[in-house]
Amino acid sequence: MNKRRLLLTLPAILLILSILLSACGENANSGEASEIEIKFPSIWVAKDSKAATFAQIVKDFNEQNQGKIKVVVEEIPDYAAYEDKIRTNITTGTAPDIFSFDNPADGEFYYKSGNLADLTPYLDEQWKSTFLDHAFDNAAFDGKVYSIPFEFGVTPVLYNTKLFKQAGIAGFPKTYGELFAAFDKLKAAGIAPATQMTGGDGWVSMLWYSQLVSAIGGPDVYKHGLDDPAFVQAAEVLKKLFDYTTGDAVGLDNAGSHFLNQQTAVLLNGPWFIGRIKKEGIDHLYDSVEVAPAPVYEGGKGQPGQYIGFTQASLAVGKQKDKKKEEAIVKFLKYLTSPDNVKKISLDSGALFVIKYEVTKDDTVERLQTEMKKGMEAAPYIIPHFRASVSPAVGAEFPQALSGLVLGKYTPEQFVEQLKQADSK
Amino acid sequence: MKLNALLEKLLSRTILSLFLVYTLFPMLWLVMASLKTNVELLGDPFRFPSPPQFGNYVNAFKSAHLASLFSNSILISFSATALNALVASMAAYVLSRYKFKLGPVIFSTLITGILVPVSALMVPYFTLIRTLGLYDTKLALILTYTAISLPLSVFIIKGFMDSIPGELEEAALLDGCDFYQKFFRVIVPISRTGIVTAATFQFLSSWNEFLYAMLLTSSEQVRTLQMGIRYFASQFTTDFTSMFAAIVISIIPSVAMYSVFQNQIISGLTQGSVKG
Amino acid sequence: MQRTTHFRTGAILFLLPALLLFAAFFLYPVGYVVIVSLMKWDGMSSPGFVGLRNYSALFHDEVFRTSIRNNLIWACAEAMIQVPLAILVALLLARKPKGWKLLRTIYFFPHVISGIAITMMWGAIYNNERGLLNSFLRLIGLSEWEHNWLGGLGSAFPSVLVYGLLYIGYFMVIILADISSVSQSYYEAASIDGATRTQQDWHITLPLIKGTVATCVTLAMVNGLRQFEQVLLLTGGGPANSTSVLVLYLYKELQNFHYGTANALGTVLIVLGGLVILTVRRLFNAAKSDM
Repeated sequence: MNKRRLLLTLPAILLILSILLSACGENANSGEASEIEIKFPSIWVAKDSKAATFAQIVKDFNEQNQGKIKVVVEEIPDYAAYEDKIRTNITTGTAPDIFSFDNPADGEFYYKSGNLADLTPYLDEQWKSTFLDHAFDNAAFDGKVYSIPFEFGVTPVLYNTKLFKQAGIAGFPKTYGELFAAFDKLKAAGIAPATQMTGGDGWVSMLWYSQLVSAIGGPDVYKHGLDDPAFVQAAEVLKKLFDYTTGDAVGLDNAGSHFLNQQTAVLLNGPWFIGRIKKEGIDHLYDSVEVAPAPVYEGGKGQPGQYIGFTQASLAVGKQKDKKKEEAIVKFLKYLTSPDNVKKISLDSGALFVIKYEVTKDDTVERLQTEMKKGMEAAPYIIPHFRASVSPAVGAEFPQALSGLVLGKYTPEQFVEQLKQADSK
Repeated sequence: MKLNALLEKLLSRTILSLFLVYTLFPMLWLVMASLKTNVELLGDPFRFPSPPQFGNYVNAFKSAHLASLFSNSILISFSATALNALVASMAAYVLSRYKFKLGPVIFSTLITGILVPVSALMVPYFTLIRTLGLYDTKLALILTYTAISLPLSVFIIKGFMDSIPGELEEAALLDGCDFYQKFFRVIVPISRTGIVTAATFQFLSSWNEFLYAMLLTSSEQVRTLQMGIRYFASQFTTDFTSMFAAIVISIIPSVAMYSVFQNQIISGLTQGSVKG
Repeated sequence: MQRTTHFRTGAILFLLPALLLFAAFFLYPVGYVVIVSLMKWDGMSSPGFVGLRNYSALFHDEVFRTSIRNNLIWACAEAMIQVPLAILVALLLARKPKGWKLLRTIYFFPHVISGIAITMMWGAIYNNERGLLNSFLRLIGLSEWEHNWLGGLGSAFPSVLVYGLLYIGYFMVIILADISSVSQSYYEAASIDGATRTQQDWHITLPLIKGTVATCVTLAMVNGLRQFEQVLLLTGGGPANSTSVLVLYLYKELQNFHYGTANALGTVLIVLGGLVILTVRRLFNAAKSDM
């Protein structure tokens, strides 16, 4: 009898307890009224390479504005989860005070929501002049600026000189003809030439496709939508590239592991990968890695030295009722994007940014990052990757269409057709 | 006859051993993987770590604040389990032991909830929790978890209650039990195996839930262990080995709870049984 | 008379919490899903009503057809392979062989471990280059069978489906719980008559746990229709959408800002599931009246 009563009262006690506890939790959260609290759900936390410096910058800002403004970071390191949350917030009209997003193609949807703050009035010439040219190309909708571009990504070729030497190749090939000749040599030496993948979002192969599309169709290739013949031609070459990769490329969703384990000789990827080469690459991989621009396509409209570059992270602000709070948020954004702070994050993490800063002799700049920066500055033009240039649906369909192409289910024409269809829903 | 029995025993042993190997393998692999470096894990997933990286566990515990997340998870999962078991048994009792016109309709409607793709309901759930003023509270998660598993629990518990013979109830009525006494004194004790089975699943799903734990909270004080596990995922790379160490730590309570719950069922068995 | 009113207040009081929670967490969201499924909406700008157009578009869509097919195969496989295996193991464990308590715990392990770890392990087992499966085939001299299991149009879906069918712990728990409530007196009587344990299982236990088997079959089929995480983590629906399932497709459409299509998929799933539940209950009720 007693035992039974216990069985029943236990849940009731637990329930009351939990209600009380959560009520207490709420009380503790409300701070003093005079201080403006800014909520910033962020991915630059935990194991992210920018985490430490980012946290320091937030801390410094909060100290400088003590009693007036406080930036509170909500940690969501998992990017897919972060995106789910941000989108739910925007859809329900509760966009966070500050948030970031990676793909400019997604940004266009957010701008349309009417739930973001218009940043145009704050973007004076002085602030704007600290950014690279064209940085704001994807930041506006209806003539209003809705996001501040921040991190920049370039994805040149990373190649393993040791494996190249083993196969008897000096330097990185300048044209696709030479590239395939070099890949033949690597293959003959028993080395899988380049990483390709169709798993996940197909990232590395998407970058190859981006290089090919603009090498064949030139820098204006996306102006004609997917109707430009360059998309079909690039698909043909990309299919051929799958003859020069690892046996698990179809379905592979880990971009870096083969290159880090020296199982492939070439990888397309960005500056964020440098840290992993240093830390996780086997047999001193870092010492044998070099940077090069992708080859030119014989007869194509692209020029030698072309670079794929894109805004890797933009910052946006949720619509505010309180003008004072909006100003406080902008104050923080200006602080975060100030050349001094950007320089700190960039040098500490290896990431590149759309904000210009001076490097002096005393600064220790990482070798591969410097090479990427040099290549980018020498490039005749910089063009965003494929996924940033098409709708999110087409970008998501890419790995599916690609695996179909590689496995012979689709011809190159059908591959492009498959991509177009994704947009029709 | 004897030979048959021997063969039967041998066959039974073989089947049980095969399943033992098959179901134990993931756990062994997980523990082994949690002691590797990431390069080892991705380069050669099935080789033993050399040397074992016990630091992954230290890393998992320290950097992901597992300790405080742990107590939140315990509180939330236990409350959600207790609440769910209570609410579901009450509903199952009425639906199983009393015949009334709306009964079957209510039951059918309730159990269609089992197949609603809950992960697609981010927008309505978020709106609901905000409207209730519960955003960023533990109660938000307790209520959500209680509700999400309700159809499944009602389905399982009613199934068990349905098999209780009517004579037992009549005996209870003769003893002068009313509606409530009958529930607490007769039905709940007898259908304990069903309630415990439902509670097992409820506890595990609350313990492992991630999406809403992330969506409906924002401050560290109310977050659960699953957030700690995802701590090792970042935009460009995931520290799988530390994540696996965190997973190993996180499943210890699940296994413990499972054993405790399951032992409840067995004591039911020794008490003598009712089914027939 | 007195008893009826008493019952009525009691019943309402007991049903109320469940119904309230259900209304808030199921009826309202499902209403939302159905309404949005009739719109063309990106989740951001203002929606437009399009009637059933999202549905008609789905029925002409290859990925949708593949997803439905995969889900139905999955549902049947769970009901016809996983559940019978779970019954078998539960019957064997109910004989209480040595160490059965430990076995009962270990058999459930795969359901305790997070999906991230299990799928990563199977991804590694199926891997073309270093996978255990290919090494095993080489070892037993079947190297011509070596394959990029998750990357082949024909092999990817079976690979994603099959391994989980042998994780029988979930249904084993339900069935074992039910077996434990069967009265011992039946078996005592049967033993005196000289029936072997297998005969007893077949003639006594199985008929008595029929209701629970129906529960398991229903749950198994619903599980098959709801599969998502396993596919997302192992193949992401590839290659060429050949492993796509409804909930994965739904999730991708949400990501693509196609909220109308995504919610139409949600509605289809709920209707399909309702049909499956009804069918299973009919089948088992028919079987009952046969007896």
